[in-house]
Amino acid sequence: MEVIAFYTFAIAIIASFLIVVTSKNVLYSMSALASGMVLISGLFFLLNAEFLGVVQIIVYTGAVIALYAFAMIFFDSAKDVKESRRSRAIFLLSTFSSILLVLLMTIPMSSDAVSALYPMHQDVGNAQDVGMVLFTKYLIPFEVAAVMLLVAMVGGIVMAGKKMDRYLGNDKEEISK
Amino acid sequence: MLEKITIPLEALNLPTLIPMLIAVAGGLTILVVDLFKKDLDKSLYIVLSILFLTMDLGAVFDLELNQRGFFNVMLIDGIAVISQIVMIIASGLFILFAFSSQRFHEYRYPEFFALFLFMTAGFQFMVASDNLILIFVGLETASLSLYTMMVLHNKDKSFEAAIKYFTMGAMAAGFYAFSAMVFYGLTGSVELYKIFEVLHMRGFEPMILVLVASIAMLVSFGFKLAVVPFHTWGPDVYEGSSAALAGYISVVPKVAGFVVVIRIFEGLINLGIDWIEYILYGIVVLTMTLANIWALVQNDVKRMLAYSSISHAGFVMAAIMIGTTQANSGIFLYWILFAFTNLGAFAMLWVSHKRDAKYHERFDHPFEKFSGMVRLMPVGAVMMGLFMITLAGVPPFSIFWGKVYLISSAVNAGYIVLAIIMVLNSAIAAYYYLKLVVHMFLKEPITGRDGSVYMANASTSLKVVLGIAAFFTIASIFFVSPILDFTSFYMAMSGF
Amino acid sequence: MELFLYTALFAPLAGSLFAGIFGASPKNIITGLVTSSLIFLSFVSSLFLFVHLYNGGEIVHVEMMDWIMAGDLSVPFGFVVDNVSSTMMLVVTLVSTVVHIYSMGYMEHDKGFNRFFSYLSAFVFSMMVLVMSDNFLGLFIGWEGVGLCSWLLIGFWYHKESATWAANEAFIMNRIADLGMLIGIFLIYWNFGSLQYDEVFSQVAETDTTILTWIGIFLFIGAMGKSAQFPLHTWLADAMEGPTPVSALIHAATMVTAGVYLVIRANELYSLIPEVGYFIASLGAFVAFFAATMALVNRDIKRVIAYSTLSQLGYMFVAGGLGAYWIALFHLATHAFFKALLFLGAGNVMHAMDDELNIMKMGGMRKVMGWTAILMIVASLALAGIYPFAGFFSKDKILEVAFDSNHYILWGVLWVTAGLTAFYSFRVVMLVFFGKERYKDFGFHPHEAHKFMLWAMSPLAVLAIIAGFFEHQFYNFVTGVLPHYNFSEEIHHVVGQLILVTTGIALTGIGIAVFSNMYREGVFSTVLQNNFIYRFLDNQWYIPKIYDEVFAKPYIELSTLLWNRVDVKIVDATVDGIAKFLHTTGEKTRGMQSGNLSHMLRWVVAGFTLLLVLAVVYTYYSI
Repeated sequence: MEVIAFYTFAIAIIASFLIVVTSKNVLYSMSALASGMVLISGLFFLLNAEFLGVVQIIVYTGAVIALYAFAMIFFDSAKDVKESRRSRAIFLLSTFSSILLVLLMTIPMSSDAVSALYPMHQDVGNAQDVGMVLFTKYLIPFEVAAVMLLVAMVGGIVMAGKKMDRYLGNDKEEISK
Repeated sequence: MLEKITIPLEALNLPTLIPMLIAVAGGLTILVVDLFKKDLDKSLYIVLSILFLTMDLGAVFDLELNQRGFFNVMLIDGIAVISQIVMIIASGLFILFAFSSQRFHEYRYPEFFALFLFMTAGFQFMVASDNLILIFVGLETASLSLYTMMVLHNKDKSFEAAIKYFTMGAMAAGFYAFSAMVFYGLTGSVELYKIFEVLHMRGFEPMILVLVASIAMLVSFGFKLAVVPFHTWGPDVYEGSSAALAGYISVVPKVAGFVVVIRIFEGLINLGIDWIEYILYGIVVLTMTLANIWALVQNDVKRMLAYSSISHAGFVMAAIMIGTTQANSGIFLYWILFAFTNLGAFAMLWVSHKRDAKYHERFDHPFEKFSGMVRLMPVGAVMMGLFMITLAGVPPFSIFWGKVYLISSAVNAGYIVLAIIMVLNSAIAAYYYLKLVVHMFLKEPITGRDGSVYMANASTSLKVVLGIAAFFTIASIFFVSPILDFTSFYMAMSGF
Repeated sequence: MELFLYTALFAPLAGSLFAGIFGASPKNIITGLVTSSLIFLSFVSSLFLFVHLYNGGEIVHVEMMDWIMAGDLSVPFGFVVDNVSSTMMLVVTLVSTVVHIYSMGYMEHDKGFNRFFSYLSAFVFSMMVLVMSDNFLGLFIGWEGVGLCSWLLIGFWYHKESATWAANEAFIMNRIADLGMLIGIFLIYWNFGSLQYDEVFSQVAETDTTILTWIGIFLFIGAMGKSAQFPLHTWLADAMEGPTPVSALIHAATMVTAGVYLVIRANELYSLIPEVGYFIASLGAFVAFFAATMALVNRDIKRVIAYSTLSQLGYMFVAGGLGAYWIALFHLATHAFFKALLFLGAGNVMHAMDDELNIMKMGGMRKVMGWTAILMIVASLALAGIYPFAGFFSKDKILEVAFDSNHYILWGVLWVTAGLTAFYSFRVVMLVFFGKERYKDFGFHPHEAHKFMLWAMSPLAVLAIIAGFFEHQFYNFVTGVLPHYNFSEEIHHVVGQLILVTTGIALTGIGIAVFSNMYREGVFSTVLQNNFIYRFLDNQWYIPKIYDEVFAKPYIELSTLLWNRVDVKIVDATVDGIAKFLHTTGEKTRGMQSGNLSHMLRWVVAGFTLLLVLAVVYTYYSI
């Protein structure tokens, strides 16, 4: 049962991402991206990682795709994108590197020697476990991530602000000599 | 339900966090001050930044060595402390550049200074941990601030530079995350000491994946440290940002980068993965040599300095690759000496910055701008000449000692060929630094100029920075030994 | 005592940094006051150290830190205050203090007031490093430091083409000489494995004389540059382009004597190689005579004094070369006092005459600047070696040494020079202060210098008069470190006659100068001025011209040749070749430099892929 579900999801994910990279219409690409993201969350649910599954939907489908959608308001999204013809070398390079990478990743990674530092608890939900780890072991990275978001916010506001419309510096001497 | 976990407060070892908290608090303070009173003079913010950096530095000195905190996420070893000291001092000097006599767009924003402090905190987190996640978060905090600060210069060039830097940075971050993922998959941990332990226990099986993870990490930090062939962003970014920020980029982020590279790659090399050593060898040689050759053909002083700092970073990477105690102590010695000289060189560019003056259709600081400078402003020309010959590694000025020390450590460790390549590169490098010296001392000045051109942006504090840099460069002969003792002590404390 | 040592050494540095902070800001009298008081502080400390040593105290020797070097070379960086260096310190700080105070008046209208004091104090610091160092490397650092400061100060008025030129000339000449010195130091390290004075000198006795000779020669080449000995002497006269206090401090009292100091310092070495010593003495005597002849006819007040400095340095080298080290040091000290005084007096005159230097345009100025006239006459009497002024004692001792060691030719040359010295110094005095008031024809309105400047000069005047009487104490003091010079028995019988003869020729010289001036203005008649000898001397023995022909022109041709051949054809071609190589390596290299973002990203991916491939290859080969 699980196997069938896994392969179904897997094929669907690959199919939707193929559309993302091959389609010449931005709208199609983006819808496919959104559906691919949702489908990935299916894999998480299959692995009983319901917390991550939900985060996947909220963050990628909800936030990232929504941002793309906003950005698309500003240009004509119905038009087909003309891709410049890549040179053969570039095409070969990218194909080669991706195939190589995929091949390398098929090598099994895990073994018995690896043990999780914070094993899951069978009787409680996934979200509680994540929360427990997040607010003990990973408290500091969590907080620093908050600072990072603050930085991003400050940066975003500053760059979008009115003051950026013209150059405020000038050659007037600022410090009286 | 999960059982309750109680953790005694002492076990968290709060003091390990104090330095970064001070920097973050400083950033917040600046934001709040701006909230209450708009349009305060920039000097207030500069002074606030310096104040917080000073407190930060004090807190770093106050740290006890070799302790961990917060569930082993924080790691305060010698290398963490010394790199924080270097970064904070360099940041403090670079923020003084903001006391320019001309107005610049970025300094009109209090946010600029807040971001500066957040960035410092980010770098501090990055070096004070061996947890890949915290390193990543710290790195991104710092990088985001840096991108924004570059944009705030508000010129077409700076937008271009920031976008390039941002895109490349995003890609590097992707490689980093990928690498961390593979390491996690292999070992079940994101903490370096644990990763090494498990890798060793399992005999590096499967080797190829260990290498894949290392390569991804190498690409990511190759970008951060601008080593060939991941350096391409460097010159454009230097050109696009103001001289002040370019100087900063050439020094401080690289310190943080070196620390992480030392932690990861020396660990891997020590575990006996020869391949990484070979690859680093190749990268080091490429970085030193190609960057030098490219620097030869530049027409702009800032771009030339960009390539030169890539080449200097190559020298330091060589020390990381060699990995003996002598080489490791040399890393920070070299970088401290380099930092002060580079500080001086960029300060000279910054002092001569004049927004409307056009010397070249593209560049702010073409070589011609400095032609015959000795006639118009001898002190400035001598200063600039001093920094140039120091960068070229002419004895007895500072960088010479760093070079000698690194080269001798290469010889002692048996890397004779590498040592020869290092010497050859120093010789090539002299040519392009002297090119500027020739322009300043031997060419005729462009007519209709007077010395004020070179001091358009000068102010007392900038001159103080210049004075400090020049003094340090000249008197370094007296400092080399204490600095070396200092770096060796901290390096030995952290077992490198 | 260490505290005094550090104070004496670092107070000037502190002053320099303080003034340097205000370097570009407008004149601020505070910088002058602060630097002067810090130099004075340094003087007081030096005095304490001197008194301490004079009362038989221990030699103060501190090791500040270990000085790491490449590989095994380890030189502890230390300072020593012994009888010789404390004498030098006292002289240097005393003259510096006077010059600093004087400069506050002299430079009062100059825009670079603060900068000037910064350089001047930096010079004093370098000079202190030079004399206090306990090893050759520290000496060399100070040596370079004074050279640098001298360059900055000669070229202080850098907007003047001639000043820049003179500064560069001095710098380059000294660079050539320093190269010799560096080789000497290198040889010392090579042979003795150390650069500490005490370690080196404890080993010289067992070392091969050939090596010692080479070391002696190379060190002396360095000394020749700094002390402007023939043939590296031309820079000194041109260095007069700098402000006059600089000439007083650097080009009369202190820096130029560094060469003499080096010979004195290395006396253990030089006493083992008398041939080199004899060469030094001969060269010294020649320079003494040669410079004095040029001073005879020159019309530039500062240049006359500069040539006289050159000549007096020659005297010192005679004493040093003949092994009478304490006498060389004695003459160095007395000369510092009266020569600085002379220069500062000349500075007053120049100031009064709106920087006019030609003595033919002066005359009769004693009426407006009486005090300066008195001070300059005192200094000139000391220079001429008239009893009881300081110069008499030290110069006569040198003549005695020459006579005593049976070097009668040297003695003769020096004897004639003494007469010439007396003549030209009084020629200047007469032309400037006496006779017809020619300056009125040229529309000058001279005035006396500030009171405090005259007061600042007074200690020098006092010393120029009385310093000679301390000969005996001085002898006892410095011979604590320096070797005694044993006069033979016979000399005691003839010493009276010698003094008489020397004083005689000096008085004759003065007499000729004074009387000829009474008969006609300008001392030399027009007929005499067309004389070959006059023109020969006036053209500085045609030496600058010879240099121009022999060195400069071929040099220019050579450099043009090098430029055309080597630089354009080889260096440029190489660089162009590299550039071409870069640009023709095709798509990839160009892509790397294009600044196109997509290209950049591709490069990252390409690098990544390459590394992956290498990793795969490695893994499969190693298995």
